[in-house]
Amino acid sequence: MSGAFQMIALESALTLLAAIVLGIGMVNPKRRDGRPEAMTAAIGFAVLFAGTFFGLSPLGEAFGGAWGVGPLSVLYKRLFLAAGALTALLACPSGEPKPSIPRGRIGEALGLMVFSVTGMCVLVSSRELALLYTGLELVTMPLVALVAFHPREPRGAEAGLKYVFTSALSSGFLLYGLSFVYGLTGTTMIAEIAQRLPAGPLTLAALIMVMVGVGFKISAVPFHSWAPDVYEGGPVVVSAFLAVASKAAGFALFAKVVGVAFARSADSVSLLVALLAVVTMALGNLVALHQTNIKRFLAYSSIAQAGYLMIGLAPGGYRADASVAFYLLVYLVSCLAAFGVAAIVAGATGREDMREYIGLSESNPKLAFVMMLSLFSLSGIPPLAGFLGKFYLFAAAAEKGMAWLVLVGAVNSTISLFYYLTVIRWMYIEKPTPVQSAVPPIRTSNCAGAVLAVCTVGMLALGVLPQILRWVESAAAAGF
Amino acid sequence: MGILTLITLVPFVAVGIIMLLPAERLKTIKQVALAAAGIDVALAVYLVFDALERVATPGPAGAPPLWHVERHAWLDRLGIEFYFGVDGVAVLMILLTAVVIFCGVLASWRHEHRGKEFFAFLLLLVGGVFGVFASQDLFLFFLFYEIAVLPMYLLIGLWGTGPKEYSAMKLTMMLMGGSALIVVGILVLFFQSGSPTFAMETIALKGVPLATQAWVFPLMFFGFGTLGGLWPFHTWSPDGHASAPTAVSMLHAGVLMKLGGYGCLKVIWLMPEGAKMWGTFFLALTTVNIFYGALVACKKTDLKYITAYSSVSHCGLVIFGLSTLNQTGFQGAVFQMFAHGLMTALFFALIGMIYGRTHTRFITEMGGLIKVMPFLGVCYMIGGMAGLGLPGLAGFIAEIQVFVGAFADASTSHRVMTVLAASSVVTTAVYLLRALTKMLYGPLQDPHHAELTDATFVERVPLVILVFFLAFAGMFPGWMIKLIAPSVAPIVARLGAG
Repeated sequence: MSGAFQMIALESALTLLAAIVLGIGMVNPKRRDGRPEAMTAAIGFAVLFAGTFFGLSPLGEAFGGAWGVGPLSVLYKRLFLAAGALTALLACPSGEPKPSIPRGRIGEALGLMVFSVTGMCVLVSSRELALLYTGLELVTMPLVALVAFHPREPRGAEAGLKYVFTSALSSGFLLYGLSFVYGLTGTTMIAEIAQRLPAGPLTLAALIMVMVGVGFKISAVPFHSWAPDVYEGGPVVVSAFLAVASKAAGFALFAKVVGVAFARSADSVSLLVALLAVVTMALGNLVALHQTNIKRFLAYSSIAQAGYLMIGLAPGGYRADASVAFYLLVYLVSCLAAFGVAAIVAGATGREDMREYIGLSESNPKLAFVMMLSLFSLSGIPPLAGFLGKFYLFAAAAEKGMAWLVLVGAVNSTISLFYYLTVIRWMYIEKPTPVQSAVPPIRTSNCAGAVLAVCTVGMLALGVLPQILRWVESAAAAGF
Repeated sequence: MGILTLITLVPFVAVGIIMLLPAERLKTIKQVALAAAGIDVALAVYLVFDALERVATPGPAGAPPLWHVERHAWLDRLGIEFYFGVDGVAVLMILLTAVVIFCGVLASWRHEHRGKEFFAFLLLLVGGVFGVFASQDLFLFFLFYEIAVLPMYLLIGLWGTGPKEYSAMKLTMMLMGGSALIVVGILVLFFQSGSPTFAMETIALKGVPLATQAWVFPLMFFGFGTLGGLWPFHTWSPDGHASAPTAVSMLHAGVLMKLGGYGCLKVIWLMPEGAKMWGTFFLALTTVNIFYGALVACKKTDLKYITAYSSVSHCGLVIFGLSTLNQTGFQGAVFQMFAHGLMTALFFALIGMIYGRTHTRFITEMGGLIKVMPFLGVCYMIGGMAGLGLPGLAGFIAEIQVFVGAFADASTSHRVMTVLAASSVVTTAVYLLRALTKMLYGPLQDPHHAELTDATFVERVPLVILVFFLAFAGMFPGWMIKLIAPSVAPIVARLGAG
């Protein structure tokens, strides 16, 4: 067995990285243009990501079983690190007139983001409830500050406040539920809970409370109402991070607590998750139909996406874990590409309404093309990753005989195509009018271009390469 | 690399080349598109000759013969393979697709507006269609099916006319709704059959429980039927075809709607018991299809709407033939797919050319056009004759088989519906002859029309090709029957066995 320190090497390195990113600004406080900070964060994430392939996060247990790393934990860690690297790169300023984060404060913002990623890594490595909860708070607290990063802007402040209230409430529910679990089993070790937790009304109460708590984190309906306001009010880059990394952490938490700890009440879990999936998809989709602000639109789209993910989660078992993890990878590249284009357009022109994307396909064909690919991927059109991802989620549910859930998911997926196509309509079909001028040509910085390139390659590769699917399935079979 | 991969890959490679070319070099872009289509025509013709030699050797028990098989492990954890192979039906459909896209590119030779993207999307769509006909793995089949269906949104939305956004969205939503049903069906079939792979023949041989077939069959049949123009889910078709630009209408009505019929045939093969349960129901629906489409076509004055509703009627005939569940009916249905594909491509190409001259599509505003454009007029007449089933042209061979097949079933309901459906031939004659007379004969309606010119050389080529195939298939149907019969026979045998 590896030494305890080696087991937490990745998390320690992340903490160090956060300190460095925060500290760069202090070296030369007069010239803070944000680029060194962003590059340090991005490169740091990338190096650590590469490090996970060379034993930076070894499999094994430490601290008396409270800390444990399985193949699935490693998979999630890589996902978080990749999301962190891409988001940091996206935040890298390049002289655009309306940056989403003020240049002087990028160090602070990215430092907080690194802390949040640290929390996520702790979360997926913990095998004990108290540690798990600590990890979760480490994820959430920096995000609160990040969301409210424009304190003088009322929308930002409102978003921050909303986020702090709802996440505190959800944490309360989660803790309350977990205290029931402790009371019923007398232990906080997840593996032991899984064996000891009896099926009964108290367990069901605990389950519901835990699901309410986790539901907030993954923006499942009816606990979703914070997401649109927060996505809209926060800086675009932070919204992207929330939509991708934070949601992935929520699903990891879900799989860990609900999937593992409540394994003996699997039937109730299945049914509850399936019902949540149905309402989440339906509401997310129906409301998204009417959105015109691109960030709000992506928020509702991401609520609907959480619904699809829950289709995969509902049946339980390793196939479920695998399909969710795979879809999260798909979602990472697809959603970041969409947010990336939104951030570039907003940064250069201030346009945040999809009706203002008019003529984008003619003035910026590449940006429009990447946006189109990402929207197609999100709606599940082959040969993009979203198609295989959704098929996999549906397959996990169909394997356990939940054909009705697949049908609801597939129909919802069709509805979602309507609003994804609406964005494409504004970019490609609508002609500029005297009232609404076309988007001017935008110069995309190398950093942002690199993010879009990585995401595009990811969307194409994940959809057709069998290796990734094999890796995800084996990891899920071995578990956290 | 096998010939099927090559056929499928050629359009995609052409898309890649076109994307790399600058938009100003439209001429080169068109040449690339035409070359790709030409290569596919050549390969498809080779495929047909090759198939005619192979057709004597029977396939494995209970499955159609399969040629040019390419089978590789792919997404193995899910049982998904890269599995290509064709039977006689697929070979014919590939030939049809290649001919129609070749003619479609020629028919849009004068296309200017954002030409680069237009031809790229057109070829993308065709690549998807080839992939569907070549696939033997259900997942792969569905993947190509979606690739074939989606580009239509932009093709109609960007280059269409009239209420194009509405039409494009309606078409996409309805077809994707159909796909939603199909994907559920595919997953249920896979897991319930206990098949280790998504290969169609394995799933068909393993079979699924009767109770499952009872609800999955209509689900998938409606799913594919939506694309095949099945009443009452045909409503996307008239609007979509009327709004689409010429080449897109040609491809969509000529080829894409065949994917629906082709899919329905596969569904019958996969679930014979379900087919027997629901056969009469779908026969009734398609009787409505045939009748209703023809009646509405009588009321329309817009040429594109007339052709679109005649497509609804004629594609109804395809599914009608399939719903008979016997050899003759199946043969007729497949023959009708081929015949209708050529016929409707010819119609839409002609309408595009006529509209390019007269700037109207309403037959009320036309008249006497045969005097100024005799070539186009004669081609339209030949198309019309094929449409109403005149012997000597492909439509006749198809219709006669479908109706004979349907009447062969001894049950009264089948016979009544056959009589009803067959009587629509009269209605078809009414709307086709009405349009022909109004448009071609009589005095010129508009003095400006006197100055119009007949078809140019580039325009004549696709028309001649399409007319040639219509007449060739009508006068020498033997080679087609030789290809179709052994490929549908195992499906009929499965229907009879249970």
